[in-house]
Amino acid sequence: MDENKNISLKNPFAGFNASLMDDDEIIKYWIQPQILFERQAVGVDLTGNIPVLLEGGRGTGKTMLLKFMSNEVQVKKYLSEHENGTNFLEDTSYIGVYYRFDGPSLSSFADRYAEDVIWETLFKHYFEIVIGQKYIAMVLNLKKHGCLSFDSNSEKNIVLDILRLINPDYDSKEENGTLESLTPLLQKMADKVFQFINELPLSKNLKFKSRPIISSGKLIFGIPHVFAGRISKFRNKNIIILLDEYENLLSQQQKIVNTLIKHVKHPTTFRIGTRLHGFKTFDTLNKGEFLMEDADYRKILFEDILLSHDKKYKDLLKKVAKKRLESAPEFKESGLLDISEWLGNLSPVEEALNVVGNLQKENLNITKYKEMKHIKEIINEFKKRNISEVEIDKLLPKLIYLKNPLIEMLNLLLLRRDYKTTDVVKLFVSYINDKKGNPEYKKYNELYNKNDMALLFQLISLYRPKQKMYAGFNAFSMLSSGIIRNFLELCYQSFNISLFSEGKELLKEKQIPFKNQTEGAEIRAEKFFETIERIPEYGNEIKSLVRSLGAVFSAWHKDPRLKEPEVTYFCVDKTSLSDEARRILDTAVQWSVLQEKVPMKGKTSAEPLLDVYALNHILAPYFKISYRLRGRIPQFYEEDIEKLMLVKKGRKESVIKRLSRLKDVGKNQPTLFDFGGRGK
Amino acid sequence: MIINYNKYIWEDCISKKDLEEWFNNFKGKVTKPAKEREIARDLVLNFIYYNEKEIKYLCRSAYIIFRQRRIRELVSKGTPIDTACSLFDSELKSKKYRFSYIGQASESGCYILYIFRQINELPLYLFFKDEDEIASDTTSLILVDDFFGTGKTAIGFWKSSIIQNITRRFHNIKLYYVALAALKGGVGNVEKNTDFEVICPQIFDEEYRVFSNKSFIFPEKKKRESAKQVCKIYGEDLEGKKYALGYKDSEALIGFHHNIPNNTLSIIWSDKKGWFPLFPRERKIYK
Amino acid sequence: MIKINGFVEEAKAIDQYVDSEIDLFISGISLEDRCPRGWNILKEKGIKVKNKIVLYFNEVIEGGKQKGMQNAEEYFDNLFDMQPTDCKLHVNIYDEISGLMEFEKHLNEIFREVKDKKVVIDFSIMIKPYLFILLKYLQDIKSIEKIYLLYTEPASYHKSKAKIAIKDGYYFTSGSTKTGEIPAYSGSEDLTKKTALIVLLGFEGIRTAEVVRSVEPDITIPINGFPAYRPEFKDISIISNEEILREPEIFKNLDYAPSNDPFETKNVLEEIYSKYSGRYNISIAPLGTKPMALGSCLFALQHTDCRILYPYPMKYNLKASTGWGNTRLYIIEM
Repeated sequence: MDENKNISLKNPFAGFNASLMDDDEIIKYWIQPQILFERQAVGVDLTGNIPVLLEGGRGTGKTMLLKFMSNEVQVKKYLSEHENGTNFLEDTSYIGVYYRFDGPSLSSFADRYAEDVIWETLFKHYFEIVIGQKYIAMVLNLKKHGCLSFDSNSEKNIVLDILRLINPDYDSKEENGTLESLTPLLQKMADKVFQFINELPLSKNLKFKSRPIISSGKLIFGIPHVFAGRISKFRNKNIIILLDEYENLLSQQQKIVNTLIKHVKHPTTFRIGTRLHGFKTFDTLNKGEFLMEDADYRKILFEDILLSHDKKYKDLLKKVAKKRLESAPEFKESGLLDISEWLGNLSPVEEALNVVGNLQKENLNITKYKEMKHIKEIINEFKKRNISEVEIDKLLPKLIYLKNPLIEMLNLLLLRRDYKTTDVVKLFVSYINDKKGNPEYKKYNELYNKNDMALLFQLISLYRPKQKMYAGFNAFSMLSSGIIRNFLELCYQSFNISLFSEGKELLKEKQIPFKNQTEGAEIRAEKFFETIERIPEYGNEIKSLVRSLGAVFSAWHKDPRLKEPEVTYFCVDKTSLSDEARRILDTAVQWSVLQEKVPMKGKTSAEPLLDVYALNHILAPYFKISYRLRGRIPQFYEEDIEKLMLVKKGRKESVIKRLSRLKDVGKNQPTLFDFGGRGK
Repeated sequence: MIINYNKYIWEDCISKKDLEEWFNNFKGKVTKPAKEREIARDLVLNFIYYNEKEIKYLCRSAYIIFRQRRIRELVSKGTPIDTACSLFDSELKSKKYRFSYIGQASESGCYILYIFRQINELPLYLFFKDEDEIASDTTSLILVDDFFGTGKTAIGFWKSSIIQNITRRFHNIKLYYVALAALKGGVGNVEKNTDFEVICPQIFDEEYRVFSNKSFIFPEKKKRESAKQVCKIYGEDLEGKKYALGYKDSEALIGFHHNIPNNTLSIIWSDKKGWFPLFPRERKIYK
Repeated sequence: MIKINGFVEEAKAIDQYVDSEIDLFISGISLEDRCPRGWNILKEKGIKVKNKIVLYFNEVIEGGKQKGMQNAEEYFDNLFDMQPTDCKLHVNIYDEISGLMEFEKHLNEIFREVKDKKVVIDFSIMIKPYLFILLKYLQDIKSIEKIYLLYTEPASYHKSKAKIAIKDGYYFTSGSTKTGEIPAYSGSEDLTKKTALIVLLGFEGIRTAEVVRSVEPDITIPINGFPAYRPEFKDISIISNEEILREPEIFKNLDYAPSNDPFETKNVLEEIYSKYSGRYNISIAPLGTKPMALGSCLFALQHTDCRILYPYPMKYNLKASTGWGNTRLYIIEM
């Protein structure tokens, strides 16, 4: 057996799911995303009075942020930085109480064996109990860690106030005066709810007999008010209820909580974590009333914010990755904590040189060079122009550039676009002689910068079975599409493969081989693609749409004239789609399969804005397409989009063919299944 | 795929280099190297390996099966289940059941017995070393081993003086042979040639003989015969005819955390003549 | 808290336990070959059945028609030797509560008191939520004291170890999944405790991941069916569930329970419960074999504070296996 066993080298990126982290791990791995906390950047105060919606796909960091803001984590963090907790409340402007909506449990609050009104009352009652208990736990936590103290008389009064909230007819002789005593009381009330839910399926017409029933807002607003009135340290503090996974609530349940948000009472406020389009309704329980952005709440779109600040996003990724690397002893000891060094950077030029074989050092041997596949294409263009062999041999050296095959590809592109040969030569010469003042230089330079990646795709397609590499820190950050978890997953897969193949040698090499990174990216892309069909309700339709889009975008990448370089997005007039198609698109966005971009104007000012959707870049390795957004955004018409989602395979192929404009593509036209995964 | 096998099942004991070296053993002696390596890959992916945790649990399973059998006997005579369970526990406490190992002191049976005792929380006084420690009211002797292929060891042990003396002295004593895993042919042999009642949580039937007609690894005849040739030619060169396809053509593809049985195809474990073993076998030196 | 005891027996020994006659036989129809095995064993042993209730799943009848069965219903009538006095319940495979209501209606017609009756259930092809709700009903409402359950293993699921590289992640179900609580098994939540999720691993890692994601427990304890029906199954379930097992904390907690022994499964759950219930609310997702699911059901009947979660699929694969293997008898006293 190889001495170089992997057993002691832990993958630093295993275990990256914030939802599975305990408080200590949240603190350990927390990186403050400055761009979210800067008010100027987003116009939102994460710790202020106004409710805030945190919208983003899975893995964007919502749960991490909400848990970080909870009182448990904040107190722990404070104690790790200070001698004791005495001044904790002075040093903070808010106290957070975290609660996650459990999907399976919520769906039990609605079945056919009781009327909707009963479930509504029951849910309100239960929600009050749960948050009430969270408040009690919060104060006990603060007390336990020395952040808060009060005498027994004060405690008695607090307890009395709370008991009167629960039951206005409460008889004060019964209570024992401690906050701890409230916990079993609330628990008993919750148990009655569970008992009812459990017994109902087997005993129809069961009545919920437990009393009292707490009405909406009684404890949620009432208890913080009691705290603020009775505990001086609580004055001027916001009590923030941090609600996670709002999308799990049923529509009627959301109306109940929406009503609380709408009529929020200081010092209580809300932070709501939800997926995109996680709000099934913005209505409240009051007829004609609904939540309005800016008036009732502010919103943060995680992916948008993160993606729009490229450098800050990359800095955030580096910091997050550093914490992971630090958690693995061997990596920490080696001091190799910069993920950008581990991943390196693979420029398009480097990759192109790898594809063709690096001939820089070789003497120019024209005969040998003419054998190269991309050069053969240039020769073919010359032949189409009836240029003789002798002339070709004279012209070819004027278009060859050993240092960068992409330049040669650009020359090929220009020829395919029917530029005159002499013009191509002129532009090229101006560029390589670095004549920056020259308009030819400017034009060539622009063309190159616009098309370099696209040219690389074209080059690779000529050198099959070589495949596009997806490697390097920049590539990984773009592939992650503003979703931190995607980035960590890419790192996990790359390290996994490298730890197996290199073992401890990896610490000497100090870089993950690009090949392994590409394989890791392909694994991640494949897994992401596979999970699409398990999206509730519309999984199959979304998968169908994604597969079709992948085919179209992939075809455009192969277009010899590169009419649309690197297009990986589209626009559509959503208003003219059917209800079902709209829901499918919204669900795709909710699950981050598609990402919404800034709407664009229609062709005329009279036309509505067009909704823009980008395919999540994480899928790029699966379809072998770019992970950037370049080129004009193509508009797809409603009928086409609907067919791609909802129609059987055969009819879809014709739509894909038309959209791909395959008559303009050379040979090797892709079919619907002509890509996908590794080694296909 | 193999990365996951290595990580989750093989206890991270194979590196990519190991795998490559093992594949490189196949140099095209029988057919094209690529074809030989494809066969090798199929074998690796169907190799059944019991890691340390699983071995512990097999020990637990074996004990549970023994316990269940005893309870069943009682219940079938009309004892309520609850009572039968309590009866078993009291019988255990009063040393009606005694445990020992098959084979010699430093062999794997002894090692497994240690794990068996620990995982089932059995007190030390239930374990015996020689027949003098067995009382007259002992009803069952449970002898523990890790694996048997042909049953040769068990049959040999049955014929040994220690067992013959026990059966002569204690006529009503029941003898159990407990193995964590076994080949079905071996189970048949033991049952036919001894009075041992075999308890085995994991029995490998004919489908698990790699080159049998019922093989689920190579269900197609042509590929199966080609694979067999490859394993046979290389194996004979390494370990001779007797062990080429596993001891007496057991054709097994099984391994344990503590060792690889010689019933497994020799190309997996042999280290002779410069052959790189994927899962090496610790050889016994008898003399 | 009720007390539950039981043990495993070979099905061929059933006549030693039920003598020559039973009061009620319950089963269900399926396109799987092992569907009538329980009934056939009773016939082979010459055991008389006074009453029969068979769940005629509408989707199975429809599935049969699609596979070209001339008269699917008649086919099953013959398979189970249905008599005019026997009861065919036409129920929806996706709606166990409605199924239960039908069952209750007919059971009440047969007898009021069930507790001293000899009841045999063949649950080989029963969808898990049905099994859970039926047992809850019989134990809770009808106070049954002893019950005999038959289970026939499939001969094959058509999957070899090497083939799990292929991404047909669905063996038994397809389409999207929504995790819910099995009705009457919602447990109770202690508001001061964290959440522990015990997952009995199956082959469909996608569904396991869905359950874990929907609950986001503080601690996850996977239980692999081992020893399994076939030796390689222990590896297939591990590899199929790689997505959750890659979390080191989850992999570290990996435990085992025999695939064919509900009582030992229950014991394993008891050990975990005693270790964690002081600090955690326990949820269980029975994604492994049906005997393991039975074990978790028996456990949940005893520990009503635990909830049972199930990833309800969009569609069941009506013929996920071929042939039949061993049939076992599980005798339960409550």
